Amino acid sequence: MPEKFKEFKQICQGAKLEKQKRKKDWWHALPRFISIYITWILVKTPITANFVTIIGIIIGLTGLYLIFLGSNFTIVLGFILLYVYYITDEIDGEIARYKKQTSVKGIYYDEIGHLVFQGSLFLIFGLNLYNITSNNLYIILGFLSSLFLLCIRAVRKICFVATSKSSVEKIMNKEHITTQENESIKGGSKLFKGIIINLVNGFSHTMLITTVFFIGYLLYIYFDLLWILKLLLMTYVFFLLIVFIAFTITKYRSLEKDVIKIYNSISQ
Amino acid sequence: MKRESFKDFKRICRGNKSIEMKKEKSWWHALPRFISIYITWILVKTTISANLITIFSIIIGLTGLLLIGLSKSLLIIIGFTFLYIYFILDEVDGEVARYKKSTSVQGVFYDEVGHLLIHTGLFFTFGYSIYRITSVNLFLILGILAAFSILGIRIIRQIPLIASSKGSVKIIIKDEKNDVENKPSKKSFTKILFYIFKNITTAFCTTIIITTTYFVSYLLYSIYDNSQILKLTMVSYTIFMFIVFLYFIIARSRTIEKDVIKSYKMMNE
Repeated sequence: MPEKFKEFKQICQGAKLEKQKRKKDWWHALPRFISIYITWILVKTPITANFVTIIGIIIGLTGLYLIFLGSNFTIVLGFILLYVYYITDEIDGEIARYKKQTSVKGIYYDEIGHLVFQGSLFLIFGLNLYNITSNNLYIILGFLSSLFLLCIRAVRKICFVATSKSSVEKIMNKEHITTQENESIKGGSKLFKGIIINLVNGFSHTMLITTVFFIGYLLYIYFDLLWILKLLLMTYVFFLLIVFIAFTITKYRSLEKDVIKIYNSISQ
Repeated sequence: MKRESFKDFKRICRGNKSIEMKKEKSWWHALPRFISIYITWILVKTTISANLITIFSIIIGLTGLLLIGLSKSLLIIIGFTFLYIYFILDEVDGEVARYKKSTSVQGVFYDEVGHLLIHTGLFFTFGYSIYRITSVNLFLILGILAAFSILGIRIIRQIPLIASSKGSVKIIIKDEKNDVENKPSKKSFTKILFYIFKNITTAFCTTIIITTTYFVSYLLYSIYDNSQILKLTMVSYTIFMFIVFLYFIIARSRTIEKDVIKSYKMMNE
């Protein structure tokens, strides 16, 4: 039985866990740790992956709505539902991989789900703070952070657009040789830079953002520290703006590598 | 001699853009393209590279937005002129790149970042400028909401590209290839009506038409000194963009398989 579970885990999460190790995106570790057990149960039922995705989106939206309502109880409940959404977000992929149901529709639902959550997370926090303080500024701050988060997302996807423009191919073949020869040198400053990048990536991820605000809200509810929430939202606006600019520059530098990577994954 | 070569020149610069325009009936590109080809004709004789034009155009576009944001009547008009120059230069860079065969991934990147900045900045700036004129906070929020919707539409458009690059999908694409391709399109009155409606909706989601609409309403505002027109434009455009965004989510989920196959073919050509 435990042997079988290991195999099951390999099928469901294999590729993802390798990616997680390589990119060190530790923020996925917790939902993945929990999700595999739920997948283990769900694959025995006739529930499809797309169904799980849709249920996940509904749960997440309910969570956002509950946070928006703004009483202490609904806020905590809302955050819990958001965490449930993050877990279902892993489950759907795992079921699809296990049942070999991966489909374009599935990817579409998944992407729409991400779009809706990345778009509305800060918006809800902003609206909520506006309800508490009745200061218009927070709505605007919330909107702006959402906008920056979406912009980061859009920049991340530019390499796909670049790959699809067919005239680019010839250039890629030429650069194929030169880009792969770059060996990565490890030094103290590079390690430090790696940690910074890792942290920045982590804190621009919806799950960590949710966690940061969850802690902020808990502090507000139990110790009445409203200024922490205000500070969090303001800091995040600047943080995301800086990340957006930095991200645009770094993505520009790694563009050719990214394009080649995508191209290879398609033509494999 | 010159006339003949200009025709050839036009064909080289446009590449498959003019075929695309005819097929998709994207008439809103016609005016900037009509002007851009003459500028390209001059610019290809210089050493100016396509990427330089793109960067220059982004700076012009952002300056235009800044001028509109300052909300003085003369500056607004100059700002709009700058935006139109941006739209023309946006065509010029591609034409120069195609003519000089200097199309590159970096060029695509600059172009996309430019679109991203200008598209999202557009409604935001209009909202901010109307807020400056009327000092009603609501317009600031409406501006951000509209910017939000346009960004959302843009991101949804990219989903098929992402989907087609995920390796595991390939098998499914090949299976579905056969049954998608042989569908005859029926033409009926309602279908044509729907088609026209769709065409106009798409047009009003493009930045050039959005800019023109706002330009007209700013002009009306400065002539009649009635901010009611500006307010109405902002409110109705925000609602319109939001509805289009929601509709887009549903419409794209229906055509996602076709779109994936299309972009998959494009990548493998």
